Amino acid sequence: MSSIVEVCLAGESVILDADRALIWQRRVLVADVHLDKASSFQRAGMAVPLGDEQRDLDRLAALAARHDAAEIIVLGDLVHAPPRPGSTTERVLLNWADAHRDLRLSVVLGNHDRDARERLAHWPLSWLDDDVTLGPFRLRHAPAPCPDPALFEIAGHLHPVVRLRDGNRDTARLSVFWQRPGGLVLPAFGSFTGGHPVAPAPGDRLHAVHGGSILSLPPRAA
Amino acid sequence: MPDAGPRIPAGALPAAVDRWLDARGWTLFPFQRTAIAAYLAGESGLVHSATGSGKTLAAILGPLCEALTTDPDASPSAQVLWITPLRALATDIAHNLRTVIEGVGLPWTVELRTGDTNSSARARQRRRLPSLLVTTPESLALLLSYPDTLRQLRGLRAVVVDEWHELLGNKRGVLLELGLARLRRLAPALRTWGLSATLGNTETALQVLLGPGRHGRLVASDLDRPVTIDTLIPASLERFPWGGHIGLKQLDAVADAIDEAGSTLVFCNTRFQAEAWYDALLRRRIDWVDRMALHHGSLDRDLRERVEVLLRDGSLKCVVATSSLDLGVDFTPVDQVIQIGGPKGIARLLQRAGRSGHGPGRRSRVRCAPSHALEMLEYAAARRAVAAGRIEPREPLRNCLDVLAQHLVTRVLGEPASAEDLLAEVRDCHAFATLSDAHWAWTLDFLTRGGPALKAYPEYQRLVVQDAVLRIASPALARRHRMGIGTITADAAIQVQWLGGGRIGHVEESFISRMKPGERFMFGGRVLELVRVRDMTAFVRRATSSKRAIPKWVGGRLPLSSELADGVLELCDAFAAGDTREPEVAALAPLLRVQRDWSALPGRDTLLVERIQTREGHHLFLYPFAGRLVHEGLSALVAWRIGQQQPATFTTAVNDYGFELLTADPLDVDEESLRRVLDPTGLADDALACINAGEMARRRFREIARIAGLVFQGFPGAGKSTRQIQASSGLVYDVLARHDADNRLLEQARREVLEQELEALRLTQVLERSRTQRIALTQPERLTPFAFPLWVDRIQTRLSTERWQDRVARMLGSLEKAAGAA
Repeated sequence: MSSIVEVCLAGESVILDADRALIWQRRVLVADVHLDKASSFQRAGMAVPLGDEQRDLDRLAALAARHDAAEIIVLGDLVHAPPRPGSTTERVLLNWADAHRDLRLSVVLGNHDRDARERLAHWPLSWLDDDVTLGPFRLRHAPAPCPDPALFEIAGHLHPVVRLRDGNRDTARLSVFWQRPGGLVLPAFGSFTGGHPVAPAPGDRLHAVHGGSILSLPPRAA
Repeated sequence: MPDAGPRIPAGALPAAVDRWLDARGWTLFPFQRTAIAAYLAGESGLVHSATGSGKTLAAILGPLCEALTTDPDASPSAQVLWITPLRALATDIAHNLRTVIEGVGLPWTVELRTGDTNSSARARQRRRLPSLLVTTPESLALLLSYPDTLRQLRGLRAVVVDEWHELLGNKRGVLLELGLARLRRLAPALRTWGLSATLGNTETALQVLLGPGRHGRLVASDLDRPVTIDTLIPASLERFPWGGHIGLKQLDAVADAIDEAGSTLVFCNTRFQAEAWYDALLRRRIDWVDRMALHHGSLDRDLRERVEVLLRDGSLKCVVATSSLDLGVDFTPVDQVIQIGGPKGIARLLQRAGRSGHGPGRRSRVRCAPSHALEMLEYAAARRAVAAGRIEPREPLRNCLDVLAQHLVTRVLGEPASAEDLLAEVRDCHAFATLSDAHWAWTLDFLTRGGPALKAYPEYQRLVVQDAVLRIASPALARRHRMGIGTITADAAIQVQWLGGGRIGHVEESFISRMKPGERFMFGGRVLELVRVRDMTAFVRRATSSKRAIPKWVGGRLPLSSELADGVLELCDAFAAGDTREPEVAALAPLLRVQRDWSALPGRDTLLVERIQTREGHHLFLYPFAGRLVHEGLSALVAWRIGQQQPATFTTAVNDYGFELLTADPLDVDEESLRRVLDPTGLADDALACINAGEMARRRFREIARIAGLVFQGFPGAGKSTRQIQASSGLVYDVLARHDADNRLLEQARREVLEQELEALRLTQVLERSRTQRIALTQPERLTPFAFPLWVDRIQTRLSTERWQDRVARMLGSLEKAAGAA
């Protein structure tokens, strides 16, 4: 198994990376990073440690380096909830941005980012409206019916996973890229994020990631 | 053991008690007098009996006699706490206790406090507790979290723990140990009494109940009646047994047996089996429709209560039940008990037998209907073990940090305390008597700072230290903690409800999560169709199609106990020596002969190993008779060790008697290599290497995370605000493993996997024993009677329903043909 697959979307050749990212024209697209989620748990009395913030930002930088990308676009839910000013998460992000000034970071507003544009206005990144057009692609947080059939939608929000059986009794839940006729849903990027099983229609393609590998599953028969 | 303790001479009881007993024509038994006298002398203790009744009276009369002599006209609050493990039993117990209390003329109030108690009753109880409160370990924990109830509990005189053996050995028992330690501090004059079935380690049971270093009185019931265990031996016995039909082949024999007796309890091992039997019996005897009922722990409380009332007043002919009716209340009218399938343990079978033939001088009788021919050996083995007085012990748990963390929060919610006081209180129970300073320090860190890695938990809050005293950090956290108390059971309960409203009961989340909308399942004697699952509720409607597709619902499959397994091997030895005195062995002779002629018989000194080749590939069957959990671990270990010598892909199947490894290519196996594979040296390392221990620990962590408050389940009406802080325990496990790898709860998950899921101790014993055993390595031409059920089990998990039944039927046909006429 390899760590990337190439697929053709809207006539464009794009790369799906096993680290849950899509690469197109020196851009890295990811969705649902959910930085600072552990802090929400901590405030609610649950001792879940921080640490995934640094790890996930490092993964983003590594993806950009590996694919020689200049921009990272997050399709919503960069943060789980806007971190407090001066919090560890904020410090980690600002340090990271400082170390990667050559990288542009753009974020489509997701449901978890609702107040982020105001509260995190000082973060060195650009907030994009939900639903922006980029070449043949329409970038959104939550997938929605597309008014323009010429555009191919790339979205997140759903945290798609699939349950696979290994022939014996074990089952595994794997994150997937869910490729449909008019759009693609990215797997959640954040390390501390869960998933929801998807019900692919006949003709849909699923690209499952596990460890450092990505595997395109055979299309389901009608 | 005879009790040489104080006894109340006849006539020395308060007159009101004597009058009440006389009016009923009752006389107290010596063991009841012993218990009452010991109580009045200020002692604590444990009353145990194998089957009998009268324990309730032995425990309650002490406190009542005391009240009658000191203050007979008062109805004071919080005199006695009565703790029962099953809230389904609480109603009956309260009813029985109320009858006694009214009978002796005390104006005491008796109330229930369980998870089912409504909020207005709970609020009233917080202001004023009744004289006697019947409650569960979880509801006791909740009571201990309120300062206003704590104040009332300071005057508590007695706490009675009913069915203590059901709590010993699990985390609910540990939670109760902590609760009892707390009660002992609140009420220094408190007397603690336990009621228990007889165990192999009754002394330990007493010690754990009272806390380390305390002395108490062990009172054995002299009511233990002789027990008859017999088997409904099928007229024609299959030589190639399999469990797929859950015993329904015995339907007619069981229905006839029910006909013969006035009233019958039919015990099944799983709810699935109970549902299927209820349905089948009703089809066979449609005229029983108004006099037959179903009882299992998933049914809604109202339904269960209705059944219990009908059972008590004798208007039911037959109740099909699971372990939900194993415990507690004595249903006087039951004439006989029928056990469907293997009992898996001696104590369990004895207890079920004890539900029949109540009353002095009457025998208890349990008739057993095998769902699988080999189970007949279990019945015979159980009968011999009972005759010899061999009963399984229950080992108490130690150092469960998850339960400790939950309790400490509860503890300081009720009353803030210093770390020193907390430690002293906690070490005053058996489960934490040996708690190390390091584990204690870690637990405090976990609660106050999240963990020792300070920078990983900057915004954590739960307990805070103020003026050297620990208290909860905020009222919101207090509320959430109380919501979480009682989530000791690992599986969340999903409410089952009609589409139009109306609750039917609850099932495990893991069961529902495997189903898709539109699928059918049997529940409460009806076939239901799942419509949708939302907010912890499964909405269902009556299934319209008559096709009876019932998904398998495992639930509560206990492994065969060591004691019973040894008994089964003993019977194999006896058969080999020509001894067929046990009727079950005689009935099984055709099967055992085929086994012996085609291969060999296992025995206490013989480990049987079979190599068989079929079109599917090369099978290796081992029969250590160590229970399914050990076989799961052992099969993985053997596969891994063989795989080290010879690369191969294995498919496995296990049951209580043995396991199967299937490979595409022949394995290089002889006695010498088997000895190497079964060498106990390096077991722990190899077990961890070969078994997917990481994944098992991750699953195990689910329960730990819930108990320790690392995940939040949400609660009815909490709505979306809590969704932000919900994550699966698996995710939390991964985050901890990445950023706080020394977390002791991860260590606990690994330890629980080894000790409980793999039964590492028993696994080691099996390997040690194999060193001294002869290995009988045979190469039968086809599947043997012992191999066949394993083969069926594997086929069944891999194929769709219709296909596996076809294949089983075909295989059965060819094996029977090969075995020739019986």
